[in-house]
Amino acid sequence: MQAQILPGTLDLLILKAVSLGPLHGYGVLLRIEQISGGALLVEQGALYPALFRLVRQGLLEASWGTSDNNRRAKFYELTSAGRKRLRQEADGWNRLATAIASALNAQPEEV
Amino acid sequence: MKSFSTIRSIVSVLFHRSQSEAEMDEELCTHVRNRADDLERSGLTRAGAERRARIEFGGHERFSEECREERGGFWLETVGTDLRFGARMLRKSPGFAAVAILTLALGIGANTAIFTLLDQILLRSLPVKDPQQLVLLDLVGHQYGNSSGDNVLSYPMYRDFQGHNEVFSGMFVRRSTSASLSFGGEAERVRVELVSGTYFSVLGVQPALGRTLMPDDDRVPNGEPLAVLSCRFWKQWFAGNRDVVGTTLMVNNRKLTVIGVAQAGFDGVETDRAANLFVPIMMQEAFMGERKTPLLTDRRTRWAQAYGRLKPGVTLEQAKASLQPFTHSLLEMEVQEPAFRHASAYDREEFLNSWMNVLPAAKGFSYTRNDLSAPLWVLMGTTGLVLLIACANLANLLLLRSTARQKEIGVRLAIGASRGRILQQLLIESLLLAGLGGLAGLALAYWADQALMAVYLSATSAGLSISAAPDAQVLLFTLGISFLTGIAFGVTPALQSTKPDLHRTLKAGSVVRGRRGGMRQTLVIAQVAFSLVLLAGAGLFLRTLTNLRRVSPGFPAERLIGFELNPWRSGYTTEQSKEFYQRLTENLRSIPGVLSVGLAAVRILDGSEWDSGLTVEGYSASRPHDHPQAFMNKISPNYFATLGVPFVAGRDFTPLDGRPIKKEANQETAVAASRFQDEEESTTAVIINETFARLYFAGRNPIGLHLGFGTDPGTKTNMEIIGVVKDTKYTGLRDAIPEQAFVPYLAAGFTGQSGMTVYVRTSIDPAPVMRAARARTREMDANLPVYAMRTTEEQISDSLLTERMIASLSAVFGFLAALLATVGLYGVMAYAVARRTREIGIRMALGAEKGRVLWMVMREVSFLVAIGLATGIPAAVALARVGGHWISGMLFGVPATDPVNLALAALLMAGVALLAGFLPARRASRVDPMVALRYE
Repeated sequence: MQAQILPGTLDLLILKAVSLGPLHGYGVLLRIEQISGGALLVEQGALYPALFRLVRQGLLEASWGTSDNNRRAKFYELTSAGRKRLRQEADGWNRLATAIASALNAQPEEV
Repeated sequence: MKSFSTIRSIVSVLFHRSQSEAEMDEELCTHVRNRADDLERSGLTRAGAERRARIEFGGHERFSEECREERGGFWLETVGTDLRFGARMLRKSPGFAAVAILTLALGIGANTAIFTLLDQILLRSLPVKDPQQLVLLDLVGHQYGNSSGDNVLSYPMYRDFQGHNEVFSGMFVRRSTSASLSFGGEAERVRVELVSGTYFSVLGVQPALGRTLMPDDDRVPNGEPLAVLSCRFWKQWFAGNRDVVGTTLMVNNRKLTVIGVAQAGFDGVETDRAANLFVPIMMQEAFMGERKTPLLTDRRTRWAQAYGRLKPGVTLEQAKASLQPFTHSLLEMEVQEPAFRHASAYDREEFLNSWMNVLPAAKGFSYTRNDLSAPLWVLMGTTGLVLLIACANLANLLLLRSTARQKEIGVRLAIGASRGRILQQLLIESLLLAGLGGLAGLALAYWADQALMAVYLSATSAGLSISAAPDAQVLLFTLGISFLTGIAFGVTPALQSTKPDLHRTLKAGSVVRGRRGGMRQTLVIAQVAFSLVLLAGAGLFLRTLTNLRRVSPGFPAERLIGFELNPWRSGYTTEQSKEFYQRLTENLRSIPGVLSVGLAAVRILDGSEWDSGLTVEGYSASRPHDHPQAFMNKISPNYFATLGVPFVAGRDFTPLDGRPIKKEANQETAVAASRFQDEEESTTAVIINETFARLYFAGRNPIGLHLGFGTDPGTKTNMEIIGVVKDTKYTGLRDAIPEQAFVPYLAAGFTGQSGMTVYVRTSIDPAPVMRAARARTREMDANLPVYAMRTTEEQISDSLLTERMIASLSAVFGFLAALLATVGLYGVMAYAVARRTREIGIRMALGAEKGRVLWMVMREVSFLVAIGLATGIPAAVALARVGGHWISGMLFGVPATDPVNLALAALLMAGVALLAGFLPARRASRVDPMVALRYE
């Protein structure tokens, strides 16, 4: 069962995917599917506005290169600002996830 | 970091637009291809894989657009698109574009034209270092002695302040005067600024060539024959020749050595009398004349303006306060001097009450600035209103247009365009129009200013050094008002048309009634109201002009020539001058067509005056200062005959009447109180005018009675009244006729230093006589410049230039405003009638008469006009009440609140507006019911 990703989390997922090594757009899609164990469904076209946004924000850096299948492709890399942002966002997300999980696991006797 | 990457992103978009577009497209397509490869590997056919990949990707265009937005610089890019789209829309409706741009060009052009003048005449600071620190000293109060000019001090007083103040980092003194410059056997009149050695250093004006004057050039009276040229003069007269430094000029028959050229653009401190030469004030005798007590030491004559540069941090108020104690101690010292020995207690007391004012002088000094200030601001306000009316017209046009485009906009909103995006596009269309209008306006303003300067400012523009060419300031102003105009007329229609009721707009043919119609009507009402105010203003200025034209100077102005000359400046001694004037009179009289020739020291109707307190035999003033303060003139025999002023009693001067008179007063001298020079016991003749006789000899025959110069107790009345003449105007047509007294010009005190005005009455057309007079004078002495030769008719007409300018411009603007308002009203009514064609058709089919239909429409027109007038009339009245005193100096013979004027303006406005409404009303009454019912 695949889940639509939550609004606002696409940027975080892209940053994470790219942090594991430079990727082109399609590679980012595959990497997200791979690291989420195929559980997350990314709307493919929506990836690109997000990539452009992250470049404009200075979190990613783009450069043209050649892909494995010998196609010219634009590769994205994390900048130091992007690395910092990824850490912050990941911490924030983990705190939120923990909080929500503990809230959802609450038992009547704990109240 | 972040902002840097944003900028880089925007820059790459702006400058490599096609490249980044292609790259974006490539990137998206590569994704689809990669996906298709994978799908093909999983077993699909290539065609199937590609189709599937495209579907999975989603809307290519939508994501491209989102990418563009995310890339940054998106709005800039859309501005470009919108501009192109706007330009296309305008090209598609050239009629609308032409009307809109023409309207804007007129509105913006009028504002730019007036602002160009206003900026240069009223707002601009002197081109010197930190002009805002400059101040002008102004001794306010009762003068005991002579003064010549405004805001003047005596030279010794300036020196006292220069050596004794804590508020100025430096001071200088100056005086503007005209002089005769001989050049290759010819002579020309030039403008000279007499300045102290500190002048250039305190102003911070640098030499463009050679050097400027320094404090060391300001030591020895009559011993510093130096001159600095203004850059403009250097270029005009010496063609910018650098060898000019070190050469000598003959100025007023004195040799001056040129030591340098002043910084380009600097024409002296007096902005309406651009200086040609700067000469050390130590040389003043060569320009101001020799006196028993030289001006450099005379405390009883004020003639030069003293300026200071405030020390950093010192305010005007602090400077004023700091100067008072020393001012008072100087006055105390002066009042003890022998010159005051005959002064009355009243004069002494009033004199001691004087105080030192400090005026801001960043803009320098100008006599015409004050005269032009109110007219220019009034015109600026007028053009502002015209532009508002133009905006209302355009807003109306756009509202009509947006109704027509409502379907287009409705469709765009329906398929998902954001309201902001459409709003942006509509506003950009307005700004495009405003920008085009502004450009056209700029050209129009340049042309209009050239015409204005040639027609109305010719007399002053030579000295004013203004130009019609727009500078950075003017361009900024035009850009600013174009932008504001675009927003002003664009925003309401844009807001209105982007919130349509989708449902109703998409239904064919239906037109929304209600609020939008209300907006159009409000705009028309405002236009009528504003136009009424402008028409009422134009009425006031037109009536002022006609009133002034009807004023008689007291003598026939036709065929009367006047010109000025000053032999003293060309080196004539007193005796030579005397002899020259007599010879010239004889010579001119022999020109065919000349009836009579007369001379006067003060040119009349020219703004110049020489007035003096007089003591009247047998008349005791009830209060200390009720003595006559008569306007004086020194004249030759036949002066009155030449002007055509009849004698009421007594006789004219004869050459024998030039018997000794005690006091020589300068033409430029204003207030004179007597006894600064030793008196001679002798009697001379004097002629007075009717007003003088009426005021001071009520019922008595003045002939044979006596007057005395000055008002000190015990003044000798040693001038015998030999004649009384009819009243004439003196300084100008506007001024009331003052009491006047005339003395013979060739009296004992005659020195010839101040020059004379020669009047020639002709029996034929003056033009050939003017040429002959010029030639005859040249034959007598080519080195003697004749200047300001004009007929009195021309002189009077020139003296009304400002009035003519404001009357004709306000009439033009009033007309323009009324025209725009009329067009606006016509547009609204024509649209309303067109909209109601079917309704009118039904009414007529049901038996409504043509008259009834006509009346139905006219009722609506009348309603709009009535509300417009009902708001405009109180607005005009309120404006006249509030601003009346401010423009009262611009009016003559008509009060600002004149009800007849307002009524006429309202009648005119109503007439024109009803006419404009009548055309659509008549069209409505001619609707053919059959055609109307088939309509739509």
